[in-house]
Amino acid sequence: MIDIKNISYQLNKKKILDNISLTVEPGEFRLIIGPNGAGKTTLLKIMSGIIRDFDGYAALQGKDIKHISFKESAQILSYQPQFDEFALPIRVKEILMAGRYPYKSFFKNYTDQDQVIFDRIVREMDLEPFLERDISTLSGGERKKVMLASAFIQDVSIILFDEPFTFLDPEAVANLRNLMLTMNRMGKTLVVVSHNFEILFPIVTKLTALKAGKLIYSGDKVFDKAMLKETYNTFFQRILHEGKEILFLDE
Amino acid sequence: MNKKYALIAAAGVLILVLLPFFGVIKIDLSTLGRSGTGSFIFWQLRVPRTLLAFLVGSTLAVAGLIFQNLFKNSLATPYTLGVSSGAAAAVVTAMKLKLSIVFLGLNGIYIFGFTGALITIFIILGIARAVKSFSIYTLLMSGIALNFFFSSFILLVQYLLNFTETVSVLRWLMGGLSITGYSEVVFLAPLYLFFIIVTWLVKDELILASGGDQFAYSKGMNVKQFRIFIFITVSFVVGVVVSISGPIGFVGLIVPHISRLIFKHDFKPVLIFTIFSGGLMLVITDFLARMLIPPVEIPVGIITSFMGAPFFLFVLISRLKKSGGT
Repeated sequence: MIDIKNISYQLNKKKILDNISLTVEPGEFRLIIGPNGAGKTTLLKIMSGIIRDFDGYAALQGKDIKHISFKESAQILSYQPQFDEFALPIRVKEILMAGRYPYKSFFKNYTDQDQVIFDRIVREMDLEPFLERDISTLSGGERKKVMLASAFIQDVSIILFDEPFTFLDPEAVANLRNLMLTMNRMGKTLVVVSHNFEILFPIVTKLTALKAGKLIYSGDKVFDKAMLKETYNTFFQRILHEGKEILFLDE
Repeated sequence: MNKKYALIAAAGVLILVLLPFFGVIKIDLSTLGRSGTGSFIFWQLRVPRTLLAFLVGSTLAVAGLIFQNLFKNSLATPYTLGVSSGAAAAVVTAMKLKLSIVFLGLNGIYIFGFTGALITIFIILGIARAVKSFSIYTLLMSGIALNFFFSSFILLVQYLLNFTETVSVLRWLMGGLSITGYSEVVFLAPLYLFFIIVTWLVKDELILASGGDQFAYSKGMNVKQFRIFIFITVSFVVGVVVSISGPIGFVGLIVPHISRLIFKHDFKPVLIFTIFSGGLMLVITDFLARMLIPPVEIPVGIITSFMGAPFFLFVLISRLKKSGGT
């Protein structure tokens, strides 16, 4: 559970977030929307404990995020950045094993138990053929899959995604979307920042809308045209087709 | 596979043992036990020199590997980013002003080298922070600027002060390993061991750091703390090494690069290979320095730069080609 109370954040005297409060409950699948510059990524980084110099209070499983150790928070949640930054040659194996880092004591090697979890996830996600390969030789979708698998190996209950669909082809988008759905059904809490509203809206349970650092809406998923108009300055339409919701931009 | 590595290792050791016998004056095995010129040259000049070359080369290569991982860039090394020349500027100033301080039993020169290296690193970090990017351009451009600045600074100090020291300072600036006796080796060896052990212990952190700050944070690593710790450690060893042997360039670029080529993406063997081949490379280069145009001895730093600068361009070009110029 992530509890956020009256959070504000400034960067170079510019207000990025303005008095945000919100609670992420266990098992929920939350979509955070908002135009560019709304403060979505900042909010995600505050939740994950990467940004700590904010005003207000944030807690992860009841513990003050500002004072929780990086390792402890990495045992609870995993932040998935928009892009990974691997520029030097590195094996997929090593990236996956990094998922066990939060459990490793300094100066010690990874244990057999780490290896067991590693092997299980690799098997479940069919990553065997990739293990020895350099991450830079993988496609965008494959890279995302590896990063996600690393979060599984990390054995966290909350996963935060920052624009997971950027630069993915439709097949990779569909695969990732299905994977998210499966993860959520398995009980993982997911928080996703994304512009790809139409992909995620039908499957999420909660919705948060941000604009210019302010909260416009936060709560159960609703299709509220007025709220969406206020957020994106654009009209959306929804039709129901064979029990599925289909969203599109209004002409 | 293991047999192959054992063979390579054996060849390395053989080179280390054999090279001190060769030089302008060949050493006969039978003279070693007796006192005399041959024995003196062997035990007091060649052996300590070979050991020093190994320690210096290995240190610079490992420092280069660490920098590459922390900056996520195969061109980022203490030499290319100006850290070595920062250390050199501080050392030259100390030599010229005949500043001598002794701190915690350390020779003042080493402290100047360390301080110069550390200040340079913090300038680089400051620049990267200001522009919010560790991109290849930010890094290399600031490296170029810093290298220019420190070279001019060294020239100015050379020009203004103490002409009597000029030749020896100039010789030191070209990078050299000619020492007599073991005092430098005895001083450097424990530092070197400490440095290698520390590097080995933080190899998992180095892997995480190479994935960028956000990746490392999300895996529970305190990147900021780690970076400060590593930069202080590297500044210290690079500062000391530069104080002893002058700014020897490009070992930290070439060796990790070749290691990564051979062992692909597997960091542990890359690190092991870098440790040993870094030392071996400088031992062999120093041998060439003694042998290429005898009896003249070419400063070893000149040879490494002659090899390293084209290598640097080659890596740069292939990188820019791959990334489309960004």
